[in-house]
Amino acid sequence: MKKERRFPPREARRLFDSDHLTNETLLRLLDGELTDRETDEADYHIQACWSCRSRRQAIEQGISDLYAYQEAVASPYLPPPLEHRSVFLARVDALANELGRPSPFRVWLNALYRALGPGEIGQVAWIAGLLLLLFSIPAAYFLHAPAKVSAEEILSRAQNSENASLLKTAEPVVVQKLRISVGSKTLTRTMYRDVKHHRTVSHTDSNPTGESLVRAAYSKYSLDWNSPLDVVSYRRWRASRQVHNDRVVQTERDRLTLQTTYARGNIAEMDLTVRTSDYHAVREDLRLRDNSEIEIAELSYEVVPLASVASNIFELSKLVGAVSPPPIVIPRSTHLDSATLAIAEVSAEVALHNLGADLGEQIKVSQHDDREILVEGVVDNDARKQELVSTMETIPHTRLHILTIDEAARQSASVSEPDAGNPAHSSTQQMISTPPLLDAQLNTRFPDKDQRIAYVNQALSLAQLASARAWALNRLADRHPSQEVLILNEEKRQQLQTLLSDHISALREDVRALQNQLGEILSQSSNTPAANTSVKAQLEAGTVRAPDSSGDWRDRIHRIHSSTEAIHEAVVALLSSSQPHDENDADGIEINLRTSLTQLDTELQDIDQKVHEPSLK
Amino acid sequence: MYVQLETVYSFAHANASSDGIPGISFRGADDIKSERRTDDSGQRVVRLYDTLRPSLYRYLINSGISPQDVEEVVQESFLRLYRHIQSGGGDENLRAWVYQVAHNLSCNLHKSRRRLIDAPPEMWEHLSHSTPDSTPGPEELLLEKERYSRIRDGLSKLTQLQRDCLNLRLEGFRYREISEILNVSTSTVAGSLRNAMSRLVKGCV
Repeated sequence: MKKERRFPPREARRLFDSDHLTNETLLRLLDGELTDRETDEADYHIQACWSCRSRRQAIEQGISDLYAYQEAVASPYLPPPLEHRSVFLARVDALANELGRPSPFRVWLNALYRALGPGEIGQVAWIAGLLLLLFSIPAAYFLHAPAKVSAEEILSRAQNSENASLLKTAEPVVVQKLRISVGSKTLTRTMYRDVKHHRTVSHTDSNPTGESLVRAAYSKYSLDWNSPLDVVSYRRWRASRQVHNDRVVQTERDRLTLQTTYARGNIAEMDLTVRTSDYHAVREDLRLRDNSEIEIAELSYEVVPLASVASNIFELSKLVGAVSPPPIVIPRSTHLDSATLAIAEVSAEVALHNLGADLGEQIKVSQHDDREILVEGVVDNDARKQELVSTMETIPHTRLHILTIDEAARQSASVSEPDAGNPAHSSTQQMISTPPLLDAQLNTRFPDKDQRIAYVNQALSLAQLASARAWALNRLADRHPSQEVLILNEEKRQQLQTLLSDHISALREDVRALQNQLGEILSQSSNTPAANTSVKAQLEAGTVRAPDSSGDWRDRIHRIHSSTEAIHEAVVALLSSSQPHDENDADGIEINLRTSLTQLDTELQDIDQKVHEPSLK
Repeated sequence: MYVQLETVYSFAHANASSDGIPGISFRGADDIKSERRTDDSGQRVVRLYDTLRPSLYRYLINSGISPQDVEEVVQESFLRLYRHIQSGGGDENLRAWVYQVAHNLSCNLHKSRRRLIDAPPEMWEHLSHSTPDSTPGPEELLLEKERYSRIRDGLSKLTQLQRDCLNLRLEGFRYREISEILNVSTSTVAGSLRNAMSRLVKGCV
């Protein structure tokens, strides 16, 4: 009796032909090519079907016969002849030599392929590996991402970095090379910034027109031409504006950029980029409201001692006063009252002071026909001129007569009288070939010639700086008599006090530095009282008297100026080979020099307090 | 140096793996390593050569390759295997890979030389006198001869594809492997084997 099928008809039709298994089903059953369910079904049927069972046995017999036949056919040739094996080995060797050893990369690749091949690693492992890779990429990104820092932290670290770089050197001069791009105009600017004495000189590789364009853009957006890429200036500038949003991003592998957008003003965004290694500011990008951009990129940055730069790099042109520069910029006409002029003059002096242009630079401020303040002078180059012009032109009632050295030189043929009151000039009238008075002491203290030269240069430089400060103070004292101070408003009076105080503080530092510098050599020189000499006479004439000898700060400043000038000349006489003195004068000059330095320090301390009095007049 | 192999072939479980052959064990692997081929690829190829050579011989003989050409086909197949491994080719189921190459080489050989579709006369003479039993009786000899004659006639009526499928199935390859070696579908293999066996076995149809 025929059994009922257990499988659905559709599946069963593949195995059965009518009521019997097909030949293919029987063969596949014998070959193990049926599924488990098919095998069960076929076996179940065969148990009940004699026909199918006999057909299966016939196929098995046929396979057996075929196998026996094939074996019989091949048996005469098996096993294969042994001698062919050695031939094969030789051929493999030859082929190996022909192909050469695979490269290490190929070996590694093959090993990797074998290790990850489908035969070695399952599908689950593949999926797990891919998932691991997918998760590891963001994990690696976050692990290597720099620590988050705030805007203030970046600025603070950048400022600390700059301060730290300056502390390594006694009298640091920052030599900075910048590439400044404004629109399509690009120039390279090299700056020398004397940090201690607030002096800056720079030059660019651009023609005057190009530089003027860049400087005009700086001026337009109230940027400090003298302090590009300076973190302190940037923080000050930033504090004066309303910050809309701060964002710190890593722009390169070792760069962090503080992207700051501003709600108001011409500048829409200002980005400051620092190195992650030391937080040194290396780039500034400004995006303006009109979508134009200003880029400042640092090409090099170096802090060197003042002594290592050319001694005259901060000195002024010798042509001041030698020319009558044509008037430029902003003519003004009507007569003004004294108070307005006095206020304008203070404003001009403050501006010059901020630009470091009042330390002996060939700039003179004066009142002209009671109508305006005349600022005239000669500067090193067009960049400096533009800097001064762009700053000074905003001061009301001010007229500018500024020339560059080149411009002045072209007009100087008919002019010969230098400005006798200028300290820079006075320091250059020298060089008669006599040895310095302390030549022996110098040779003993500094056997090495280079060391000796460096020492002398540094001492002379300090003396000259002090002289420049005193000269600036003297100018202020001359320009601001009591009646003019009285008519100043409170703000301008305070500005004037600050100006005086700045110079006095700086002069005190210079004097003390000069004392220390000279202490190395003076302590070894003779301490014998000296006879009267020309320099000694000057010293005595200029020696600062007792601090309470005069209540007027102007008189004191005049004396300080005289004393400083005398000290300057004494230093030159002792250390420079330019002054023809009797060698016997050395001891006297030295004694008076030391005394003058001490008294000058005391006087400066006193005058510092004096100019801070609220009732300055 | 000859590497003595101990072969125990299992028809039902002869599924190839990457290197070793199921059902086949061999001695002397260390001896092979001591030979001149120092790179792994060479050693693997020689090992496979020693392992697969007898069965490949039988396959090629039964495929109609003359005994003089068989060794050349076998060696060329393994040299190509060496190139394949050296070039970073996959090493899964190398046994099937070798058979496929051998099959293709034999097909090329058939085009240039006379093919032995039937056993040559001298072979038939040998078959006539050979028996599987060492002590055959006259009736057994007669039956054996009749059986071989029937198989021989049946094989001569098969197509090349059917013969190839039969030969590879006799070598233990599964339908899927046969389809890969012959580059046909699995159903074609199944159909070819069904038709071949129908012709060879009386009463199946």
